[in-house]
Amino acid sequence: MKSINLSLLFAIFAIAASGSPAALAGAEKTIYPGSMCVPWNAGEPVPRLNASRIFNDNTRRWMRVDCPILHQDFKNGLFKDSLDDADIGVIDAHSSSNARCWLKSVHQTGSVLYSWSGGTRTTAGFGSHEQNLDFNGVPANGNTWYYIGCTIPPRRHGQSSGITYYSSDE
Amino acid sequence: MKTRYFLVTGAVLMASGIVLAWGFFSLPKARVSQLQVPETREDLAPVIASLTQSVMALQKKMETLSEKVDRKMSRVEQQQDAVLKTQEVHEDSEEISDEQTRQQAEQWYERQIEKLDAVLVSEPKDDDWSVRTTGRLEETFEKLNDYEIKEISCSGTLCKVNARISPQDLQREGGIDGLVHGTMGWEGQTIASVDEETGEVTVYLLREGVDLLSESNAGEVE
Repeated sequence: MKSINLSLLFAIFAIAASGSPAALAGAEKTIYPGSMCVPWNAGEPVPRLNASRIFNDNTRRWMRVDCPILHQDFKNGLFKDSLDDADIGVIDAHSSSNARCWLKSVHQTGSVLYSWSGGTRTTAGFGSHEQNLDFNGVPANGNTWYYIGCTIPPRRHGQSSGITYYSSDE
Repeated sequence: MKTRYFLVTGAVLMASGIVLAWGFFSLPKARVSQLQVPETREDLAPVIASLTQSVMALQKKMETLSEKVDRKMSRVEQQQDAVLKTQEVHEDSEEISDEQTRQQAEQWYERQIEKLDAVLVSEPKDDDWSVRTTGRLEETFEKLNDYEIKEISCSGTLCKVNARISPQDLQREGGIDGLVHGTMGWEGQTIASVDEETGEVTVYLLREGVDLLSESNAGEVE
Protein backbone atom coordinates (compact mmCIF):
# COMPACT_ATOMS: atom_id res chain seq x y z
CA MET A 1 0.00 0.00 0.00
CA LYS A 2 2.82 2.31 0.97
CA SER A 3 4.67 1.56 -2.28
CA ILE A 4 1.53 2.30 -4.35
CA ASN A 5 1.12 5.67 -2.61
CA LEU A 6 4.76 6.53 -3.27
CA SER A 7 4.44 5.58 -6.96
CA LEU A 8 1.31 7.72 -7.25
CA LEU A 9 3.05 10.70 -5.66
CA PHE A 10 6.04 10.23 -7.98
CA ALA A 11 3.76 10.04 -11.03
CA ILE A 12 1.92 13.24 -10.02
CA PHE A 13 5.24 14.99 -9.44
CA ALA A 14 6.59 13.83 -12.84
CA ILE A 15 3.47 15.04 -14.68
CA ALA A 16 3.57 18.40 -12.89
CA ALA A 17 7.29 18.82 -13.60
CA SER A 18 6.91 18.01 -17.31
CA GLY A 19 4.24 20.71 -17.72
CA SER A 20 6.02 23.33 -15.63
CA PRO A 21 7.10 26.64 -17.22
CA ALA A 22 10.74 25.74 -16.61
CA ALA A 23 10.44 22.55 -18.64
CA LEU A 24 8.54 24.36 -21.40
CA ALA A 25 11.06 27.22 -21.50
CA GLY A 26 13.93 24.76 -21.76
CA ALA A 27 12.36 23.22 -24.86
CA GLU A 28 12.81 26.50 -26.81
CA LYS A 29 16.56 26.69 -26.26
CA THR A 30 18.91 25.14 -28.80
CA ILE A 31 22.63 24.56 -28.23
CA TYR A 32 24.95 24.09 -31.20
CA PRO A 33 28.55 22.80 -31.06
CA GLY A 34 31.23 25.27 -32.19
CA SER A 35 32.04 22.99 -35.14
CA MET A 36 28.77 24.13 -36.75
CA CYS A 37 30.31 27.55 -37.31
CA VAL A 38 31.42 27.98 -40.93
CA PRO A 39 34.82 29.60 -41.58
CA TRP A 40 34.54 31.68 -44.74
CA ASN A 41 38.04 33.07 -45.25
CA ALA A 42 39.35 31.86 -48.60
CA GLY A 43 42.02 29.17 -47.95
CA GLU A 44 43.81 30.09 -44.72
CA PRO A 45 43.33 29.79 -41.85
CA VAL A 46 42.33 26.15 -41.85
CA PRO A 47 40.23 25.51 -38.73
CA ARG A 48 41.03 22.76 -36.25
CA LEU A 49 38.22 20.83 -34.57
CA ASN A 50 38.55 19.40 -31.08
CA ALA A 51 35.61 17.87 -29.22
CA SER A 52 33.40 19.63 -31.78
CA ARG A 53 34.91 23.00 -30.84
CA ILE A 54 36.50 25.09 -33.60
CA PHE A 55 39.96 26.67 -33.22
CA ASN A 56 42.21 29.00 -35.20
CA ASP A 57 45.73 27.53 -35.25
CA ASN A 58 47.10 30.10 -37.69
CA THR A 59 49.76 32.30 -36.12
CA ARG A 60 49.18 35.31 -38.38
CA ARG A 61 45.66 35.35 -39.74
CA TRP A 62 42.33 35.92 -38.05
CA MET A 63 39.62 33.35 -38.62
CA ARG A 64 36.18 34.66 -39.55
CA VAL A 65 33.17 32.43 -39.04
CA ASP A 66 29.40 32.54 -39.43
CA CYS A 67 27.53 30.38 -36.93
CA PRO A 68 24.04 29.67 -38.33
CA ILE A 69 21.00 29.64 -36.04
CA LEU A 70 17.85 27.79 -37.10
CA HIS A 71 14.73 29.96 -37.35
CA GLN A 72 12.04 27.50 -36.34
CA ASP A 73 9.48 29.40 -34.30
CA PHE A 74 7.04 31.32 -36.49
CA LYS A 75 4.54 33.24 -34.41
CA ASN A 76 2.65 34.58 -37.42
CA GLY A 77 2.99 38.24 -36.63
CA LEU A 78 5.27 40.99 -37.78
CA PHE A 79 8.32 41.24 -35.55
CA LYS A 80 6.57 39.23 -32.84
CA ASP A 81 8.46 36.49 -34.59
CA SER A 82 11.88 37.13 -33.11
CA LEU A 83 14.93 35.57 -31.54
CA ASP A 84 14.65 36.22 -27.81
CA ASP A 85 18.19 35.55 -26.75
CA ALA A 86 21.50 34.04 -27.90
CA ASP A 87 24.95 33.49 -26.51
CA ILE A 88 28.30 32.06 -27.56
CA GLY A 89 31.22 30.47 -25.75
CA VAL A 90 34.63 31.77 -26.86
CA ILE A 91 38.17 30.85 -25.80
CA ASP A 92 40.35 33.92 -26.32
CA ALA A 93 43.98 32.93 -25.91
CA HIS A 94 45.43 36.06 -27.55
CA SER A 95 47.15 38.35 -25.08
CA SER A 96 46.70 41.62 -26.97
CA SER A 97 43.68 41.17 -29.29
CA ASN A 98 40.12 40.21 -28.51
CA ALA A 99 37.59 38.01 -30.28
CA ARG A 100 34.49 39.79 -31.58
CA CYS A 101 31.02 38.37 -32.17
CA TRP A 102 27.71 39.82 -33.31
CA LEU A 103 24.20 38.42 -33.67
CA LYS A 104 22.44 39.20 -36.96
CA SER A 105 18.90 38.99 -38.23
CA VAL A 106 18.84 39.15 -42.04
CA HIS A 107 16.32 39.04 -44.86
CA GLN A 108 16.52 39.78 -48.56
CA THR A 109 14.03 41.48 -50.87
CA GLY A 110 15.09 41.52 -54.50
CA SER A 111 18.73 42.53 -54.65
CA VAL A 112 18.61 44.35 -51.33
CA LEU A 113 19.85 42.67 -48.17
CA TYR A 114 18.43 44.05 -44.91
CA SER A 115 20.13 43.30 -41.62
CA TRP A 116 19.71 44.16 -37.98
CA SER A 117 22.09 43.69 -35.07
CA GLY A 118 22.13 44.39 -31.36
CA GLY A 119 25.85 45.23 -31.49
CA THR A 120 29.29 43.64 -31.26
CA ARG A 121 30.34 41.72 -28.13
CA THR A 122 34.05 41.48 -27.33
CA THR A 123 36.01 39.09 -25.09
CA ALA A 124 37.87 40.52 -22.10
CA GLY A 125 41.35 39.36 -21.13
CA PHE A 126 42.84 36.09 -22.33
CA GLY A 127 43.43 32.52 -21.25
CA SER A 128 42.34 28.96 -21.98
CA HIS A 129 39.02 29.45 -20.18
CA GLU A 130 35.66 29.85 -21.92
CA GLN A 131 34.08 33.32 -22.01
CA ASN A 132 30.35 33.68 -22.59
CA LEU A 133 29.20 36.53 -24.81
CA ASP A 134 25.49 37.23 -24.44
CA PHE A 135 23.26 38.88 -27.04
CA ASN A 136 19.91 40.59 -26.68
CA GLY A 137 17.06 39.48 -28.93
CA VAL A 138 16.71 40.58 -32.54
CA PRO A 139 13.51 41.25 -34.50
CA ALA A 140 12.50 39.05 -37.39
CA ASN A 141 9.82 38.32 -39.94
CA GLY A 142 8.74 35.12 -41.68
CA ASN A 143 11.65 35.34 -44.14
CA THR A 144 14.42 36.13 -41.70
CA TRP A 145 17.48 33.99 -41.02
CA TYR A 146 19.84 34.39 -38.07
CA TYR A 147 23.54 33.91 -37.49
CA ILE A 148 26.31 34.86 -35.10
CA GLY A 149 29.38 36.24 -36.88
CA CYS A 150 32.77 36.09 -35.14
CA THR A 151 36.37 37.06 -35.71
CA ILE A 152 38.81 34.79 -33.87
CA PRO A 153 42.38 36.04 -33.24
CA PRO A 154 45.49 34.13 -34.37
CA ARG A 155 47.37 31.59 -32.23
CA ARG A 156 49.63 33.23 -29.70
CA HIS A 157 52.25 31.73 -27.33
CA GLY A 158 51.26 28.21 -28.41
CA GLN A 159 47.63 28.75 -27.43
CA SER A 160 44.75 28.79 -29.92
CA SER A 161 41.52 30.78 -29.69
CA GLY A 162 38.19 29.30 -30.76
CA ILE A 163 34.49 28.75 -30.24
CA THR A 164 33.17 26.07 -27.93
CA TYR A 165 29.39 26.33 -28.49
CA TYR A 166 26.64 28.79 -29.24
CA SER A 167 22.98 28.81 -28.33
CA SER A 168 19.70 30.43 -29.26
CA ASP A 169 16.37 30.86 -27.51
CA GLU A 170 13.31 31.55 -29.65
CA MET B 1 1.23 -52.46 1.57
CA LYS B 2 0.76 -54.60 -1.55
CA THR B 3 -2.78 -55.58 -0.50
CA ARG B 4 -3.79 -51.89 -0.13
CA TYR B 5 -2.36 -51.16 -3.59
CA PHE B 6 -4.42 -53.92 -5.22
CA LEU B 7 -7.58 -52.81 -3.37
CA VAL B 8 -7.20 -49.19 -4.57
CA THR B 9 -6.45 -50.26 -8.17
CA GLY B 10 -9.51 -52.55 -8.15
CA ALA B 11 -11.76 -49.75 -6.84
CA VAL B 12 -10.53 -47.38 -9.56
CA LEU B 13 -11.10 -49.96 -12.30
CA MET B 14 -14.63 -50.68 -11.05
CA ALA B 15 -15.51 -46.97 -10.94
CA SER B 16 -14.22 -46.52 -14.53
CA GLY B 17 -16.32 -49.47 -15.70
CA ILE B 18 -19.48 -48.01 -14.13
CA VAL B 19 -18.89 -44.60 -15.76
CA LEU B 20 -18.29 -46.13 -19.19
CA ALA B 21 -21.40 -48.31 -18.93
CA TRP B 22 -23.58 -45.32 -17.95
CA GLY B 23 -22.21 -43.33 -20.86
CA PHE B 24 -22.87 -46.10 -23.36
CA PHE B 25 -26.53 -46.65 -22.33
CA SER B 26 -27.74 -43.14 -21.44
CA LEU B 27 -26.08 -40.63 -23.88
CA PRO B 28 -27.38 -41.88 -27.27
CA LYS B 29 -30.95 -41.88 -25.91
CA ALA B 30 -30.68 -38.32 -24.73
CA ARG B 31 -29.34 -37.16 -28.14
CA VAL B 32 -32.21 -38.79 -29.99
CA SER B 33 -34.80 -37.32 -27.63
CA GLN B 34 -33.36 -33.80 -28.16
CA LEU B 35 -33.44 -33.97 -31.97
CA GLN B 36 -37.02 -35.19 -32.32
CA VAL B 37 -36.73 -35.80 -36.07
CA PRO B 38 -40.13 -35.42 -37.80
CA GLU B 39 -41.31 -38.45 -39.58
CA THR B 40 -43.83 -37.00 -42.17
CA ARG B 41 -44.00 -34.06 -44.67
CA GLU B 42 -46.83 -32.47 -42.67
CA ASP B 43 -44.59 -32.39 -39.64
CA LEU B 44 -41.94 -30.45 -41.65
CA ALA B 45 -44.34 -27.62 -42.68
CA PRO B 46 -44.14 -25.58 -39.42
CA VAL B 47 -40.34 -25.97 -39.39
CA ILE B 48 -40.11 -24.70 -42.97
CA ALA B 49 -42.47 -21.79 -42.17
CA SER B 50 -40.41 -20.85 -39.15
CA LEU B 51 -37.17 -21.01 -41.16
CA THR B 52 -38.70 -18.86 -43.94
CA GLN B 53 -39.72 -16.25 -41.36
CA SER B 54 -36.20 -16.26 -39.93
CA VAL B 55 -34.68 -15.81 -43.40
CA MET B 56 -37.06 -12.91 -44.15
CA ALA B 57 -36.22 -11.28 -40.83
CA LEU B 58 -32.52 -11.63 -41.58
CA GLN B 59 -33.01 -10.11 -45.05
CA LYS B 60 -34.78 -7.12 -43.48
CA LYS B 61 -32.00 -6.70 -40.97
CA MET B 62 -29.41 -6.81 -43.74
CA GLU B 63 -31.29 -4.18 -45.74
CA THR B 64 -31.49 -1.92 -42.69
CA LEU B 65 -27.79 -2.42 -41.97
CA SER B 66 -26.79 -1.72 -45.57
CA GLU B 67 -28.87 1.51 -45.51
CA LYS B 68 -27.13 2.51 -42.29
CA VAL B 69 -23.70 1.79 -43.81
CA ASP B 70 -24.59 3.82 -46.92
CA ARG B 71 -25.71 6.74 -44.79
CA LYS B 72 -22.53 6.58 -42.70
CA MET B 73 -20.32 6.35 -45.79
CA SER B 74 -21.94 9.40 -47.37
CA ARG B 75 -21.51 11.30 -44.08
CA VAL B 76 -17.79 10.35 -43.95
CA GLU B 77 -17.34 11.44 -47.58
CA GLN B 78 -18.99 14.79 -46.77
CA GLN B 79 -16.68 15.23 -43.78
CA GLN B 80 -13.62 14.39 -45.92
CA ASP B 81 -14.70 16.98 -48.51
CA ALA B 82 -15.13 19.56 -45.76
CA VAL B 83 -11.66 18.80 -44.35
CA LEU B 84 -10.08 19.08 -47.81
CA LYS B 85 -11.84 22.41 -48.42
CA THR B 86 -10.70 23.73 -45.03
CA GLN B 87 -7.11 22.70 -45.81
CA GLU B 88 -7.24 24.49 -49.16
CA VAL B 89 -8.62 27.65 -47.53
CA HIS B 90 -5.93 27.42 -44.83
CA GLU B 91 -3.15 27.06 -47.42
CA ASP B 92 -4.54 30.06 -49.34
CA SER B 93 -4.68 32.15 -46.17
CA GLU B 94 -1.06 31.14 -45.34
CA GLU B 95 0.06 32.34 -48.77
CA ILE B 96 -1.70 35.64 -48.22
CA SER B 97 -0.22 35.87 -44.75
CA ASP B 98 3.32 35.30 -46.08
CA GLU B 99 2.88 38.01 -48.69
CA GLN B 100 1.40 40.34 -46.08
CA THR B 101 4.28 39.58 -43.75
CA ARG B 102 6.79 40.45 -46.49
CA GLN B 103 5.02 43.75 -47.19
CA GLN B 104 4.74 44.54 -43.49
CA ALA B 105 8.45 43.81 -43.03
CA GLU B 106 9.33 46.29 -45.76
CA GLN B 107 6.93 48.87 -44.29
CA TRP B 108 8.44 48.28 -40.84
CA TYR B 109 11.94 48.83 -42.21
CA GLU B 110 10.83 52.03 -44.00
CA ARG B 111 9.19 53.32 -40.80
CA GLN B 112 12.39 52.66 -38.81
CA ILE B 113 14.45 54.52 -41.40
CA GLU B 114 12.03 57.48 -41.34
CA LYS B 115 12.21 57.61 -37.54
CA LEU B 116 16.00 57.35 -37.47
CA ASP B 117 16.27 60.08 -40.15
CA ALA B 118 13.94 62.28 -38.07
CA VAL B 119 16.09 61.69 -34.94
CA LEU B 120 19.20 62.51 -36.94
CA VAL B 121 17.80 65.90 -37.92
CA SER B 122 15.98 66.89 -34.73
CA GLU B 123 18.31 65.61 -31.99
CA PRO B 124 21.01 67.87 -30.50
CA LYS B 125 24.53 66.93 -31.60
CA ASP B 126 27.28 65.55 -29.41
CA ASP B 127 30.33 66.94 -31.18
CA ASP B 128 32.92 64.83 -29.35
CA TRP B 129 31.12 61.57 -30.00
CA SER B 130 30.32 62.67 -33.55
CA VAL B 131 33.97 63.42 -34.39
CA ARG B 132 35.20 60.20 -32.78
CA THR B 133 32.64 58.05 -34.60
CA THR B 134 33.23 59.75 -37.95
CA GLY B 135 36.98 59.14 -37.47
CA ARG B 136 36.40 55.44 -36.70
CA LEU B 137 34.17 55.08 -39.76
CA GLU B 138 36.68 56.76 -42.08
CA GLU B 139 39.50 54.64 -40.69
CA THR B 140 37.47 51.49 -41.32
CA PHE B 141 36.57 52.48 -44.87
CA GLU B 142 40.23 53.26 -45.59
CA LYS B 143 40.96 49.54 -45.28
CA LEU B 144 38.82 48.95 -48.40
CA ASN B 145 40.21 49.14 -51.93
CA ASP B 146 37.25 50.55 -53.86
CA TYR B 147 34.62 52.67 -52.12
CA GLU B 148 32.98 56.08 -52.11
CA ILE B 149 31.53 57.67 -48.99
CA LYS B 150 28.54 59.80 -50.02
CA GLU B 151 27.35 60.84 -46.58
CA ILE B 152 28.30 60.53 -42.94
CA SER B 153 25.99 62.41 -40.60
CA CYS B 154 25.76 62.06 -36.84
CA SER B 155 23.54 63.31 -34.03
CA GLY B 156 24.01 62.69 -30.31
CA THR B 157 22.91 59.06 -30.45
CA LEU B 158 23.36 57.80 -33.98
CA CYS B 159 25.31 58.09 -37.19
CA LYS B 160 24.20 57.40 -40.74
CA VAL B 161 26.57 56.29 -43.46
CA ASN B 162 25.65 56.20 -47.11
CA ALA B 163 28.33 54.80 -49.39
CA ARG B 164 29.15 52.70 -52.42
CA ILE B 165 31.38 49.71 -51.81
CA SER B 166 32.72 47.43 -54.55
CA PRO B 167 31.42 43.85 -54.60
CA GLN B 168 35.00 42.56 -54.11
CA ASP B 169 35.43 44.57 -50.92
CA LEU B 170 32.03 43.53 -49.63
CA GLN B 171 32.90 39.92 -50.39
CA ARG B 172 36.23 40.15 -48.58
CA GLU B 173 34.63 41.73 -45.51
CA GLY B 174 31.77 39.23 -45.38
CA GLY B 175 29.20 41.90 -46.22
CA ILE B 176 28.49 45.19 -44.51
CA ASP B 177 28.00 43.39 -41.18
CA GLY B 178 31.51 41.96 -41.33
CA LEU B 179 32.84 45.45 -41.98
CA VAL B 180 30.85 47.23 -39.26
CA HIS B 181 31.06 44.53 -36.57
CA GLY B 182 34.05 42.35 -37.46
CA THR B 183 36.49 45.00 -38.68
CA MET B 184 35.19 48.09 -36.90
CA GLY B 185 33.74 46.31 -33.84
CA TRP B 186 30.76 48.67 -33.48
CA GLU B 187 29.30 48.09 -30.02
CA GLY B 188 25.80 49.50 -30.52
CA GLN B 189 22.79 48.42 -32.57
CA THR B 190 22.95 48.65 -36.34
CA ILE B 191 20.39 48.55 -39.09
CA ALA B 192 21.76 48.19 -42.60
CA SER B 193 20.72 47.71 -46.20
CA VAL B 194 22.92 46.74 -49.14
CA ASP B 195 21.83 46.81 -52.75
CA GLU B 196 24.05 44.11 -54.20
CA GLU B 197 23.41 45.28 -57.78
CA THR B 198 24.66 48.83 -57.25
CA GLY B 199 26.86 48.34 -54.19
CA GLU B 200 24.95 51.10 -52.42
CA VAL B 201 25.14 50.71 -48.66
CA THR B 202 23.17 52.53 -45.96
CA VAL B 203 24.00 51.88 -42.33
CA TYR B 204 22.60 53.45 -39.17
CA LEU B 205 24.92 53.00 -36.20
CA LEU B 206 23.31 53.61 -32.82
CA ARG B 207 25.38 54.71 -29.87
CA GLU B 208 26.16 51.95 -27.35
CA GLY B 209 23.27 51.55 -24.89
CA VAL B 210 20.79 53.40 -27.12
CA ASP B 211 17.78 51.33 -28.15
CA LEU B 212 15.80 53.57 -30.49
CA LEU B 213 14.44 50.68 -32.51
CA SER B 214 12.87 48.76 -29.63
CA GLU B 215 11.54 51.90 -27.92
CA SER B 216 9.76 53.00 -31.05
CA ASN B 217 8.12 49.59 -31.35
CA ALA B 218 7.11 48.84 -27.79
CA GLY B 219 5.11 45.65 -27.79
CA GLU B 220 6.27 44.59 -31.22
CA VAL B 221 9.91 43.81 -30.72
CA GLU B 222 10.36 41.20 -28.05
